[in-house]
Amino acid sequence: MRLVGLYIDAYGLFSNFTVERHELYGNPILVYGLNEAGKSTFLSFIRGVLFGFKAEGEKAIPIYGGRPGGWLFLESRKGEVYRVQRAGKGNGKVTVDLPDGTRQGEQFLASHILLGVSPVLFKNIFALGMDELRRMEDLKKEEVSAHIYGAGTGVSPGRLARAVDTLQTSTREIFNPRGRVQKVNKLLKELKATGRRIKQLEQLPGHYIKMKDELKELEEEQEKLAQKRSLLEMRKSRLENLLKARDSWVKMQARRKRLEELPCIENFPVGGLSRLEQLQERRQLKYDALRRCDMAVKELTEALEAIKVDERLLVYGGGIKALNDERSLFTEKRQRLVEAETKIEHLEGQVRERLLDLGPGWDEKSIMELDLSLTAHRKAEDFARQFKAKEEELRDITRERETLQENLKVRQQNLKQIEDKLSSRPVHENDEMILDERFNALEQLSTVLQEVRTGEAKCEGEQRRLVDLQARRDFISNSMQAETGITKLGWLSWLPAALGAAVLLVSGLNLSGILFFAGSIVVTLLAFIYQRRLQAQSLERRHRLQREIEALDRELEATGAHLKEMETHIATLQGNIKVLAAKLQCDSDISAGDLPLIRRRLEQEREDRRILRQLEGERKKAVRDLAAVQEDLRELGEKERNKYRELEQLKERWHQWCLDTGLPDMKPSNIISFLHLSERARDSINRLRLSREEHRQILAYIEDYIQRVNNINSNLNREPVVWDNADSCILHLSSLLEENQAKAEQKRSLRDRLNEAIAGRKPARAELTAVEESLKELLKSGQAKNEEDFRWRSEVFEKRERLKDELERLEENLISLAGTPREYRELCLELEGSGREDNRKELEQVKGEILRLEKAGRQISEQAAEKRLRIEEMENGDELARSRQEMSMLQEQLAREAKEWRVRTLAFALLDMAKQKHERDRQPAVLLEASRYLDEMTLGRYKRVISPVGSPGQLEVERPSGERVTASNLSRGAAGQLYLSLRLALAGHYSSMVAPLPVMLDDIMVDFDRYRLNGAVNVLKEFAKTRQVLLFTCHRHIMDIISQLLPEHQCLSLEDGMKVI
Amino acid sequence: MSGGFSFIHAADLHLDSPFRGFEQVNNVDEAVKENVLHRLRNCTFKTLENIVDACIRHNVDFLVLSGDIYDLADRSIRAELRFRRAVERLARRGIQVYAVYGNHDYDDGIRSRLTWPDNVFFFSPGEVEYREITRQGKEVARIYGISYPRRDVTDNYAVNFKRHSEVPFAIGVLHCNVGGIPEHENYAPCHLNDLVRAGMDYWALGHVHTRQVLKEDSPCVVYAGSPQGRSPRETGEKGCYLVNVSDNGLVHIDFLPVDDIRWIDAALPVDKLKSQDELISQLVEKLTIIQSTHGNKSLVTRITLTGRSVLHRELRSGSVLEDILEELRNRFAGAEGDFLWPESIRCATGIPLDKTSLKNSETLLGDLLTLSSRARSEAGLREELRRTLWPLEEKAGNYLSPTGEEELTQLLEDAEDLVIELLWEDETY
Repeated sequence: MRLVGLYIDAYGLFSNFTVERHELYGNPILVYGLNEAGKSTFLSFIRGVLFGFKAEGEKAIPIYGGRPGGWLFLESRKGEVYRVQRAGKGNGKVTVDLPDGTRQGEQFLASHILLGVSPVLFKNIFALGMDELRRMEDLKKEEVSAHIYGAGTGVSPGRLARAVDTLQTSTREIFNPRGRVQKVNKLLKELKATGRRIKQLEQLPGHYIKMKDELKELEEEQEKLAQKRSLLEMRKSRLENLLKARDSWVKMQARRKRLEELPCIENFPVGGLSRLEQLQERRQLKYDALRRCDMAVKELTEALEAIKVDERLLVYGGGIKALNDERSLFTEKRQRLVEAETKIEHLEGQVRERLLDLGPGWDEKSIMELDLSLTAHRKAEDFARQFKAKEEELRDITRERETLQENLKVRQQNLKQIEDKLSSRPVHENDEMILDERFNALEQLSTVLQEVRTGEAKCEGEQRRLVDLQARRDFISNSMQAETGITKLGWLSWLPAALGAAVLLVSGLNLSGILFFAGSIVVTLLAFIYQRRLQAQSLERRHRLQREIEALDRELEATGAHLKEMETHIATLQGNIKVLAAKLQCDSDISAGDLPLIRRRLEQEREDRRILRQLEGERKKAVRDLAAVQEDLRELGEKERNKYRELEQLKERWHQWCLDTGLPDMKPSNIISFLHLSERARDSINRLRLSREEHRQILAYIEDYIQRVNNINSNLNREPVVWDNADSCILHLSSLLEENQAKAEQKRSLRDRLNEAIAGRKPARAELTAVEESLKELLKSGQAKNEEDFRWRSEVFEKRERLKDELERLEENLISLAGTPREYRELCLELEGSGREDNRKELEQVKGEILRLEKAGRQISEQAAEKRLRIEEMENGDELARSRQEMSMLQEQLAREAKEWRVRTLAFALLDMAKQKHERDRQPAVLLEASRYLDEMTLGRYKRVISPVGSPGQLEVERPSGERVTASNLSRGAAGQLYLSLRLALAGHYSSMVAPLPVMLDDIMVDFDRYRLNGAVNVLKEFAKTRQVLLFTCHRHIMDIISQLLPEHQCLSLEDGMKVI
Repeated sequence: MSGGFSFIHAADLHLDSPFRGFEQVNNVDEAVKENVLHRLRNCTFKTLENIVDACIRHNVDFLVLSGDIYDLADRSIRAELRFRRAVERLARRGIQVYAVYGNHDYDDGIRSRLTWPDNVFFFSPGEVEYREITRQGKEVARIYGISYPRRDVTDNYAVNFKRHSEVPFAIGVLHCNVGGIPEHENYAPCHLNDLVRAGMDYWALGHVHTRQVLKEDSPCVVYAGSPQGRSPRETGEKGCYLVNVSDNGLVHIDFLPVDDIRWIDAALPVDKLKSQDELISQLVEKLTIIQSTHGNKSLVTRITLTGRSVLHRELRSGSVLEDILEELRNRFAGAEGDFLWPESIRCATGIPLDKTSLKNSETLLGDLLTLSSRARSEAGLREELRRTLWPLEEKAGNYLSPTGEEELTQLLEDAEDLVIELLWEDETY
């Protein structure tokens, strides 16, 4: 493709910029411009349209606003022209207009025009700058190959090398067949260890069964030991029993013997001796009881006869008792009677006093008839409240009236003061409006005077200016005169010549004369020249001065006119001053100094008027206030009269109520206390009446009591009593009664006891007889002759019984030791058949055996417990599950790392293969081409570019002598030539293989000296024969050389984003 | 017809076999790690408990287990004892258990010699046995079954099943591969017609870990599937079937999810995402939705990022994905209780790039892609590339399977992407 035109709508500093076809006809195209002319922006635009604006960054932003956009015209080898347009924000939207009129998009651009050239490839091959060249010089040798590949592979420089390094490093980090610390190597180690652990744990299920069997055996063994021990324990127990039983058994044998020696009394009454003693004791008791009965009868009879009782007292006992019960009551009543009389006296006095408090005409009856209810109280209180309220209202009204009267006086005084002030103020004739007009006139006058002053000052200035201008004009005019004089002296320049001629003539045309003449001619010529110059300068100055004079004249005229204007204006202002002075009633020749006085005068008048207005206002207010107070007084008077009327009405109602209720006619405030007094009086009367009643009752009782006492006394033939001794008499009678009653009771009791005693003698005799019978029976049952014999037989029987008991007890003891009767028999047999010492010895042996068995049993128990624990661990433990889980996780990890390693290994292998292919298929042609360019560029100094076989990372150049120099050992300039050759070769290669795009070189020869530059330009000349080349430079010397060596070039000059023609 | 009854059909419990497919539990504190690992180790036991709970809750008459209760290779006493405990629990409720052994727990006569309660019956290897199922003294069904005598049974056991004529309802229990399903070993192979011809009313099958109903009725042929997924290939809801048989022999099946931990795959396209924060936000939202969808059950989730995005390089660099994973694990997993465990985040994104057009370019990358493409068909080149992988296979052969053909193709694809990632530059330059 060839660039045959472009249009930049807006891009960087370009706006509405067009490059026509004819401007791109030549080859190469040299785009020249100083710094900031727009060369890089131009190049950036081309890249931006092809690959997008976004990558161009800030270069794409139009400085005059709008969005970047424009188009390129590209011509194919067949002569078809495509228009590639891109516009818009971001990367921009691209459209491709085809020769047939159709329109396509980004895809078409990539596939049909760019033909797969990537932005990186384009930058590395087709759009090359100094930076790209310089960067190559810093590369390490291993990276050169990658750089070359990068240049030709669509990969940025260095990226390929980094990619290779990354793959190698990361692969090694994952796995190394002989390594130990890599991820996979570590995982394998862990997997092995975990596998071993699992294998061990997997043995456990097999061990589980075995362990259960072993446990079973141990438990059986334990069982056997337990049984054996049980037997030994039994034997031990038997031997211990034998030893324990030995004493008892010996005792038992002795007891048996003694029993045989005693007389044989098999039967005897049970408890015979004790029964005998009991019966004997009972017999004695019965004897004693009988004797006591007789004694008792005798004593009771005697006592009975000794007691004497007064029967009459007993007959009236009830009455005496009753009177005695009431005796304290009688005493109390007697006391209370006295108190009641005292109280009555006191109450009567109280009643009298309270009746007196109420006033005359009041007695008990009338007080009792009064209505003293709560309703009456409330009603009275209500009346009292109403009276009180009315009186208070009246008092308030009176106070208010006094206040208002005082207020009235104050207001009247105030009004008088204001009127006095008003009459003392000065009066002005004119009204407010005229005063305002005068103030306005004053202001205007001040302004006009100011203007007049200013105008006069300006006139003065203008006049001075006129004078200056005139002076300047005169000066310039004089100068012009002087200049004219200079020109008139031109003839002086011929003087040397004339002199020379004269000398020549005089000298007779000899050599010196000739020489002098020649010199004079020269001088004359010089003078002439000088004169001419002076004249020219003078002429120039005169023209200039003339122009100045003309200008001054114009200015003088203008200034004069201006001055006249100002004077006219001032005259007008003077007229205005007169008019204003008249308004202010001042002289017409008023000056600015008079203005303050006038102003003060006017202001004073204004102030006077203001005060007058204020006083007038106050007077009106005072009059209004006075009227208000008077009105209030009138209203208050009306109110007071109403109140008095109401009070009178209330009094009427009160009087009527008092009459109705029987209360005295008094003030309501007093009636309350009257009511209270009446209540008190009534209360006292009530209490008096109660006391009197009480007195009457007590008296009646006392009299009745005495009567009853005297009745009894008369029946008992005693003296009657009076008030004072009635109770003592009853007391005495009561004590006598008690005494007699006690005696009577005693007699009754003795009589009862006597009867009992008499009745008790018979059974006592019967019991005695019974006891004696029992005794006989007992003796008979014991086969005893008498009681002594019975006793003897009892002793013997008891001895025998004791022995039998002991025997039985000993036997029981032995049986309990033995355990069962059968064992007892065996025990006895064994006791008979063995001795104590034998038993002891055997016991020791058995104990020893038991200890041994216990120890063995403990050991087996421990083993069994351990087995149980391990079985439980196996049943519940999850060690195997954990290990398997860990194994699974490790395997997954290994699978992932293995996959990662495989991917990277394959990637590395593929990349290596691709590189080899690249080296094999593409590099030779490129190197050949590069060699040709380098040869020409270095003027034959270096003939070939070589990438040694087996050292793809190295580049070498070969001298004509065959000597090879590695790229890293070349000088900066030579290395630049080498890399430029390679880039051009690659560009050529890609142009033919991929897309023949224009090649753009951005000031790549700036570091070249003249010779290198020539060489490079020659290469470019050839290069440009087969493809379009755009060269960008800001250096004049490069442009000159190109212009010189490449006549078919075309130049496009830029300046500030515009073409320079 | 006899009275109705019900039973639960489960299979492939694989008690105490490890949860496979995840690499490591890290980036969290020890308590969280132990919670997750403990639950993963014991999930099959919890599932067994859930099955027993379901039996009790639904008051079934019996439980049918169609093989592979545990892996003999695992040699886990714990598994056998836990199973026995579960059976004893059912025995206390009067629920019978009928079980066959499969290819993983085949009956070779060598067992741990545990004693079993009376309510469990293991069908013997060698020939088809049957047991009568009675209710109130009356036979309501007969269950037929046969166990594996060894691991690799290649006989068609289905043809040995013959229904007795007087049987009111016949149930066949078989651990087999119907129709040669390729993902599973082809043990006891048979066809659906074989099962139909046997005359059973219900086939309780085991061996295939994905539940499926091969036939709705006449007979009803069901793979219960494994009740607990144990690897990334076994995703989604897992459980057993509650089978209700009515008085007149009609079969109604209900799926009961009983799994303790569920494996879920989640894919998140990243095409429109511009930053890591956006990615994390999207991931959190996705995982939250997943969590609530599965009723807050414990989940293990493998996340795959797909699409082509500007984030691709960032995601592939450094420890970005690990950091995101750590963030998610700390949010969704705790020291106790249920959890959502993000197992890994896989980056299947790529650079926004057209490989086809790149392949056709005369560039190094184009050459590489061409070579890689040729390696897919040229045996010599393929072999040459495969040889580069031998060092690893020699060293780790015990733990890694050799690279298969499909795998090699995928590796080549990944290698291409890796090289492109390393070499390709965006249009910005």
